[in-house]
Amino acid sequence: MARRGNIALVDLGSGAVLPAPKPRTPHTMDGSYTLNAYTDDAPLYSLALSGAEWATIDWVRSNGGAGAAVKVTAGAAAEAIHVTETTAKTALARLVKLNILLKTSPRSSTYQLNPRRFWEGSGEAQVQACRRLDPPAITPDKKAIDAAKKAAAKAEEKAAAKTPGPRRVDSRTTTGGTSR
Amino acid sequence: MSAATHGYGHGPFDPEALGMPAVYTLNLSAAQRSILEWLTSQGAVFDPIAADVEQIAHDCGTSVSTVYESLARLESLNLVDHPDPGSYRINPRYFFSSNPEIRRLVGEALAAPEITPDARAEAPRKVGNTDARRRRTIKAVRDEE
Repeated sequence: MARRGNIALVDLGSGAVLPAPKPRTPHTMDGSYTLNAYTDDAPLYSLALSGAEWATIDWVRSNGGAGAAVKVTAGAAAEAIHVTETTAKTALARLVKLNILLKTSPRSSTYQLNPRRFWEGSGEAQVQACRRLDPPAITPDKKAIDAAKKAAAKAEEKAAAKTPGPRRVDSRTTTGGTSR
Repeated sequence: MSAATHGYGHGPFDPEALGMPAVYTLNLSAAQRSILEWLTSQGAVFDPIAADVEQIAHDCGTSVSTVYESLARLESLNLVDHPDPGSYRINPRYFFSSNPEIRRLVGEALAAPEITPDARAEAPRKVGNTDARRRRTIKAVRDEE
């Protein structure tokens, strides 16, 4: 996956590295705002998320996970969304795998919703969060791809069933009556 | 009477929640939540949209009958309005569940005192000193001979 590395502004004529651009001018979006971005990432409805996974996203979001990393334990999530702890753990693991939830470090239990897709807070903080987390795109996993393939095959099957086949020739008219 | 003093639905109106409980407390199935997301991404929060059930089923990876069942449950929850056949709109209250900043602002606006125009607001607008001076200035017209 292509990730952003260290980039610099270079004068193509002389090859000299130009100084960093001037600091950003503050603007109105520096105040708090909510972002529900529908970017070119895979839409959430196409990822074959389970009910528990959807509920986990909504629960993390309502607990401030869209603006900062929050501590999430499987027990607390399970209690809030009325599922077993194992289901909550599985849901958290799949959301991390899909890059919807980002872990601040591999061993910690703090999670943040991908700031490319969800954000609540100031614009400056979002820029910093994006720099720190370098959020990867939300990518469908095998389960999502299989579900999409299955849906496409089903739709094709249905379309084929709808299209009328070649007209059946009535044997009675050609043979001059029934064989009985 | 302001909206804050009205009773909405079954309980008293709560300016904090604006009549929208957290989505995760509604025990929505995966299909129901996916369809809600699909409608949101198509702009159904702001206007009624013409939704093709087969298209929804294809995009969400469910069957058509599941889409009908899910839409019926969302309708029974008042989350989705179905004004005309084939047309769906999400309850505007749902907007506030995904935009807490705006919910907070609207909640505060409902609780805040109303803005009342005073006597000066009723009076004609005072002409500024600059405008008054400009009107008195007489510019010389060039002689065209």
